[in-house]
Amino acid sequence: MQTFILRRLMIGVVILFFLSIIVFVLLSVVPGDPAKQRCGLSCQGDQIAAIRHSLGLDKSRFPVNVTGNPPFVEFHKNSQYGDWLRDVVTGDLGESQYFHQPVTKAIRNRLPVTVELMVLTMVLTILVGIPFGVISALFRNSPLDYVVRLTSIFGLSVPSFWVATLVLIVPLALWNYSPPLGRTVGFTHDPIGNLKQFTPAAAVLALGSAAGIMRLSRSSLLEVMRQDYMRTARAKGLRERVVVLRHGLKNSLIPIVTVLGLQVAGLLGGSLIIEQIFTLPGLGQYTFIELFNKDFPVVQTMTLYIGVVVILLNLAVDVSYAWFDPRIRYS
Amino acid sequence: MAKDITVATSGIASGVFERPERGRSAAFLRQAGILIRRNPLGFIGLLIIVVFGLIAIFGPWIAPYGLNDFKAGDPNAGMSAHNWFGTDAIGRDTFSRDVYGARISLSVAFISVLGGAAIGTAFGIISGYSGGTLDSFIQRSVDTFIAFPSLLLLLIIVQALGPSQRTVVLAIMLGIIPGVTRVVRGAALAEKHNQYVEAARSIGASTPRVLFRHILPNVLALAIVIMTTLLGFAILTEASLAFLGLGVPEPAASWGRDVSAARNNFPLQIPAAFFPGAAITLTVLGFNLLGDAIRDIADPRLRGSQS
Repeated sequence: MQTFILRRLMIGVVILFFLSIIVFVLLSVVPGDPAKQRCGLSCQGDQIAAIRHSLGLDKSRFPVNVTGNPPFVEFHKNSQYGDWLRDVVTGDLGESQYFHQPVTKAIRNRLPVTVELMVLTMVLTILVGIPFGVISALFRNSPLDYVVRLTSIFGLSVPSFWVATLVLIVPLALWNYSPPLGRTVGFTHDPIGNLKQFTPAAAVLALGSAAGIMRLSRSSLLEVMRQDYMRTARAKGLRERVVVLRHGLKNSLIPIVTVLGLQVAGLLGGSLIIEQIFTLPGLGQYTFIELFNKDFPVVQTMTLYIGVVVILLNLAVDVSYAWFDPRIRYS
Repeated sequence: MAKDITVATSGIASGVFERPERGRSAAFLRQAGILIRRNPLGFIGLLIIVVFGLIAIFGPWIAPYGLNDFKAGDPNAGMSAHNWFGTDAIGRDTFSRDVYGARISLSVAFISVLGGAAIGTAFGIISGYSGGTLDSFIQRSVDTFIAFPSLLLLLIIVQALGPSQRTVVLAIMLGIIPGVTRVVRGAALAEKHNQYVEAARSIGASTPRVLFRHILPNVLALAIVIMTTLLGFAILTEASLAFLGLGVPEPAASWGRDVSAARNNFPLQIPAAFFPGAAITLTVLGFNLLGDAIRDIADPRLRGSQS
């Protein structure tokens, strides 16, 4: 078990390294000069140079550069990538150029918002997706099954930004109602006000993921229902509820949990849009604003953190298999 | 039997089905009838796609007003016989813009999915067949992309290269490649141990020949099946990028951008927000329904659980 986790963590580090390089290369071709943007319109050449220097933009981008002349590689002791990597490892993330605020502070303030949105979305996904999937599988080919399947394929097809837009503007146009926007209220401070703010956003975000889980739990349970041990369970006279829940559902959970883990990456991407629309001051909104304002060190850091979260979650999912299916041992 | 049906549907989907001879046309119609009865939802999906495809092709003849015709009606007019879906803040006809939006949406989706699936299939075959270092390098790269919100990566790509139709296509293509690579690799891995591969090798076929003349045709059906669903994904992604202001730029009409424009409009125009989004939903729904049906037909093992 330990060796398995260790090996996966090592692969995770390799993946993160790949990711950081890809994002760094991509962002290095972005048009526009962050120094010029920061300096303003009436800006002299030497002022820009000074800002470029203070931001470290005059350094080489990577510690190793490929050149046209022999020996074809040159090494730089100071490079933008090296500096950034050191900052990320030491936890000194510097200051956001747009918000004029330390990045660490911004993350600390905004993390709870995104975490709450994610948790709420996951809860809704599980609470809606799995039960309806099970019902659909149990009453296969009944009208109820068709309704659930059509709803789920509809949920997979509908763009979340459109639903979010309609959720906001239709009540506003008809009843002049809008959920509280902007500043968030803490859950411990005012639970009802807090949920009023987060539930619409989480429900919209959960639409696609719940639909996916519905379809998956239906087909996964149908697959399990065909197994011999289900017949055995019935034959030895267990009640149908026990057969379905304890023998059927538990065995069909592995693919469901896998996909739930994989969905987190997609949901984090979706939070970029949803936090923007519902003006929830979370990390998605932060990343989006920083990307738009070409504050690249911050974007790089955020992508790396998102990568870390997704990799750790998927590892947790793989480890949890052993709990769902004792036959699985990692050795 | 199953193979014949797959060929038939892919022929219908791409519109290149040759006119069968007399005797066979009756058989073909009968077979199509069985297919439709067995998969009514897939047929509905196909119909939706055909309708939107026609709208995209014949857009300028269908739209009553020009794409950027500021004199189509009063600004912010509601739904009327004159402007079916109302007008936007500067007096452009929403219905006409939605019609033109089909062009961008479908062309971006088709080009990016064709390109992405082709590249992904090539990577997948190479990765699965070669094994060893190359395989693990490709697979770790795929992991990198999958372990990451694709939307954020696409936003970075578009921001990096500057929004244009080409950039959007490229970004969506890059978003598609990893998934296709992963799926095709699995299939190629299974094909690799078949006897026909061994036979080809033993008569001295080169590796590229084995890959693209022998293994490729056998994983192609799978690639086509995933492509249908990917088209829906591509349309959703294009719309999301456009909504965030990083899609195909003006003066082209994009459904996603029109939803965003309607959201920021005051007084609120619900039709201007509703119809472009409904168009996205319907198109994606069409591809998802058709994709499900094709998967049912192509993979008989799944038939029991799906229908």
